[in-house]
Amino acid sequence: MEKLQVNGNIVEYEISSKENEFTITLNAEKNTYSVFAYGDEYLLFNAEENKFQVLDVYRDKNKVFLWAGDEELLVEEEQEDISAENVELSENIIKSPMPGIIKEIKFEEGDMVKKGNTIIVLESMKVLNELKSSIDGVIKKIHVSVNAQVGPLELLVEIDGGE
Amino acid sequence: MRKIKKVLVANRGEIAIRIMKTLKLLGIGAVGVYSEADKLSKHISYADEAYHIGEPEALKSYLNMERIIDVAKKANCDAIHPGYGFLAENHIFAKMVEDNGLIWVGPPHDCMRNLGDKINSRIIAQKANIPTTPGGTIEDLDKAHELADKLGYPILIKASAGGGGKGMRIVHDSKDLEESIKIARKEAQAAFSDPTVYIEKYIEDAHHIEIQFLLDKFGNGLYFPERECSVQRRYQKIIEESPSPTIDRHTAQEIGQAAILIAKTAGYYSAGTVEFIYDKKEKKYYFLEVNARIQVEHPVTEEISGVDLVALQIDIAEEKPLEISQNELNLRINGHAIESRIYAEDPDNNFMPSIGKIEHYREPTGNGIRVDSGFFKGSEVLIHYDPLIAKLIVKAPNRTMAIRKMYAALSDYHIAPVKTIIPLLKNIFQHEKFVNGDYNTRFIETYAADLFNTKKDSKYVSEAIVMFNYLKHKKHQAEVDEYSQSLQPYWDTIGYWRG
Repeated sequence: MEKLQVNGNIVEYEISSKENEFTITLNAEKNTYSVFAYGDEYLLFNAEENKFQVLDVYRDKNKVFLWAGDEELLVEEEQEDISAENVELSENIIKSPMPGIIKEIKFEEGDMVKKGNTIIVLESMKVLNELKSSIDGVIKKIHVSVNAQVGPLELLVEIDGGE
Repeated sequence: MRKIKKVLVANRGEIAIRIMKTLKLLGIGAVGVYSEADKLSKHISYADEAYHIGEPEALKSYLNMERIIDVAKKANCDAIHPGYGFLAENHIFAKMVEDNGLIWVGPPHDCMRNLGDKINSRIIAQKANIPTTPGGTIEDLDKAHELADKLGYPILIKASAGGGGKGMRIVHDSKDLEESIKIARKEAQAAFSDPTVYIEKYIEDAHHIEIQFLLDKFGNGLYFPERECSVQRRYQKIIEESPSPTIDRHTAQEIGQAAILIAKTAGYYSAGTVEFIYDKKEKKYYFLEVNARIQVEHPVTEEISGVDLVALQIDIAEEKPLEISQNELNLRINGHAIESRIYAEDPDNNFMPSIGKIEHYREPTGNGIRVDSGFFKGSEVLIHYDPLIAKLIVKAPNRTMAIRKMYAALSDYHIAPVKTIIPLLKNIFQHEKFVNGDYNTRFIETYAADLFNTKKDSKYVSEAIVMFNYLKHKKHQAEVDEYSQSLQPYWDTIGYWRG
């Protein structure tokens, strides 16, 4: 059995190939497709079912974006879940939710802040976003300065909850 | 009458291209401008000549008035077309353009000043006896509280110089009023260099209905069928259609005539749009504002009327009279048109802008499918500007067919790895309420559960896995081929010597 992630769901399948002919078994259903390439587009021909399917494809490292019929699909190798660690941290740090430019930093290192206080004003695509503290605490470290350009999920501020 | 021979287009992206295309049809030279960040952008390639105007930050390039006028003079332009956004509604710039002996392709600057200030434009509408939404100015915090309490929460705070939802805040509770005013003022200052904001009543079953109009310098006016732009996120439109499924033909005519009346009262000429809020429950319309520019959604009107609004803007700027009457225009109107704005944003992650290079790009084509795009494969979505990649416009004999055509065209619009709102748009065009024409400005928030993070079962899982394996295999094969090809030149060389 092989595994892939299709649109975020793990799919188990068996596959064999001979030249451009692929036989796949998925959910106990067996299908054979011949693959023909035309630039970025591919034609998949399922001879037994008399079905043709045109697929537009973009490959980005280990990910493949596909367009078939009215669907867009994302196929990738199985991802390990690393999000658990981040959730734990999110309480006392502020990350940029989106790329942007730091317009204002309302506190300095060592300042006391309350839950809900706006710490940073981030401008992105001409809209000002207020990034607030999710805890009461003391500003431990500010990693950015005014007018700095930041990417998504960049660490901006650390707050010490003082437990 | 005067003749325009060369126009500087003071904009970027799809609107710069759209304007340049019409200039070419008219035999007029097109001059482009670009910031440092835009030196590889698509719009430059449509210009006959293009000039560098400064740093990526808009203030130092696309908003740099002196620099743009210098370039226009240096390039021997006789007119400037501002597009939308940036300097389009800046009356100071419009005046500067004329003071420098250039033609401003837009309304008169004093009229822009009066209308650009939303507080003032409400007074103009009231003068024309057109109803405005209840609300008023903010003199101080106490008075603001008093007014908001009188109107009843929720209320809206809007930038007087605003547009596109910038500097706009909805306030549900009096305790948030002060902070919201502060933020709105800051946003307004950042976006329009004017911090003035005002308060307006928030209408619950609100529809955004707007009228495109044209007025020449001789008092001839034309109004087009209404556009409904109620599908919005963060107060910004993402879908526009014409005609509206909400109002009847009689109301449409009434609102159209109201628009012309307001524009004439303001002393307007050129193309413009009057926006109204339509309260479906009360069957009442209220004047909202005048957009003294060509709008993002103007193609919807072009598609159902067959006119080229940019060409008519040029005609009016050349002091030509409008050639067709309202009756003639009415006879030309046919079918139904819809526009979708293709934003580079992740709809499933709070519309987070998705910047970066577009590595894969394929546009839909076909009868009645129009793509006004500012990008091609390899273009970058830049952090400095609005993340609008393109506008997709469809035209069909009726609304049902237009919706289906739009769905098919969106399915054929392939963009990666930059994320776009295409999945959200597709969900909207399949949503029963939208299909039935039963939607208002709160459509997206009301039906969020149906529209976001919707993972449907795919019909093409087997095909997708086959393709993945095929590509993996092909990549491996390509590496093997590359290795064997690297030996080839030696054989060629030896062959040559042997010959």
